[in-house]
Amino acid sequence: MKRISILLALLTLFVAEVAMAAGAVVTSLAGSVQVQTGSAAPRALRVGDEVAQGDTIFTGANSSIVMKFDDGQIAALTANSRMQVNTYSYDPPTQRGNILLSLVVGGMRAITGFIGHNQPNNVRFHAATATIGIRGSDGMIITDGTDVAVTVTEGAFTFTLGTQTIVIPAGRGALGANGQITPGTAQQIFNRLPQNFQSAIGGLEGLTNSINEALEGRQGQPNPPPPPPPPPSQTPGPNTPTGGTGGGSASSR
Amino acid sequence: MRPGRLAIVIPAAVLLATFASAAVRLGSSGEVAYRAAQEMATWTASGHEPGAAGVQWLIEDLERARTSAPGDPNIEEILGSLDMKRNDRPEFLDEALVHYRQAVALRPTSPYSWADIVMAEYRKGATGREIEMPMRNAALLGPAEPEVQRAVIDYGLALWDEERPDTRQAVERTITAAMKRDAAETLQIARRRGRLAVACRHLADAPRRVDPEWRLLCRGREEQS
Repeated sequence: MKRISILLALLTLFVAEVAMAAGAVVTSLAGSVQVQTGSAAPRALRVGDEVAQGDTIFTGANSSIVMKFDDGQIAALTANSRMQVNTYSYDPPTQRGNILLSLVVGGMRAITGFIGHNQPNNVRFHAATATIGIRGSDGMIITDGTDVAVTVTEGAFTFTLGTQTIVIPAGRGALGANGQITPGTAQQIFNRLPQNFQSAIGGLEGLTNSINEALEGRQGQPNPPPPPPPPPSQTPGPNTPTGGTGGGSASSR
Repeated sequence: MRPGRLAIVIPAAVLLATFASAAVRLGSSGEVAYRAAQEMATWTASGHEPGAAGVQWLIEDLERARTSAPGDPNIEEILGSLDMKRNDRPEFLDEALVHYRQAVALRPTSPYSWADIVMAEYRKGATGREIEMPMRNAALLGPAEPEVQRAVIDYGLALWDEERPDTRQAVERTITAAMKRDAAETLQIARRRGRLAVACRHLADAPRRVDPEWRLLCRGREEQS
């Protein structure tokens, strides 16, 4: 009887771990992308893997990745990037949580999800010495580890460098270099960027299809017409989330 | 009492006392394992991990129980799961694998123990025999166990391009069984791994009605290929 109790306790543990898992799923990946969890050795990431708080993602040359967080937030990284998930927590019932991502080097396109919509102050990005806040939905951040460029496609970003903070509306951007923020149109910013920054932007623009697929939850699958309303006995459909093994322990039963 | 009877009674009494002592020790280790599993379930259910000290206390309790009653695979599995939580240390995966392999050595017929090894090896970035052999064993020993099915399908599809044909066959057999149990969940895992076409091949195995959108998605895959 005691052994059965132990097995039941382990099953409870498994179910709880799956339910509490919070983070992102890799929806698209090209080339060589690695993740480091804690101080473990980096390992290759694959489509469908989960990325969680504390993980650091590295993209190699000619590589890219698109991740979709539980709240719908998208983070896409271009080649030769390094990003750390400093904080990610999300409570689905209230659609609230906290996001802090650090782009150490490279290019990232960020599209906000429920947290950004409901609690914009709780979505922040660090890039070099700059802090970028979200007041809208879609933008790009590029850094070589020293200078930072931001362009905004939809909504608005806040850009803080030292004691200076500006709001960047859609269609505009800013370059943070030598402790100064220089705002301009997105095109002006792009034209002033060094070649490596321009390459990063080009790489991010090449991810548009993968990002759209992640936004639609399709992950490379065809988009069917909407199904008729399901009868009560029907099994869940493709857009009904179900837990994977993820980081949960398969030992539990 | 006659000397002849004493020669039987004394060894029998010693044997009985030994068995009783072993039973008490096993009971005690079972109690520790049960409490440890309950404690870990509390952490995950509350969303609050206990920190390094809390994990260490539990490990010390379990190691004491293991010393007094060696050979309990449940304790090894729980110790492995605790090590998986200590990812602030570079060696946490290797230490977890030591416990999971010991659990397999003690209970080689447990598909869950093999699935534990698959999970830890995947997180280590292992490919080839290191992960495929335990994956095949888990699939063989637990074809109808939901958690085992999830692990085999998830990691099996993640490594699909790199697997040997016999490993792929084991994964496909698991998909067939899982489609019978819960087609939507199986299709969802395959889709997350970008391998929906593999699961769609087994759509006919699903005995219950599947959401028509899945059938459309699968038909789309067929047309694409």
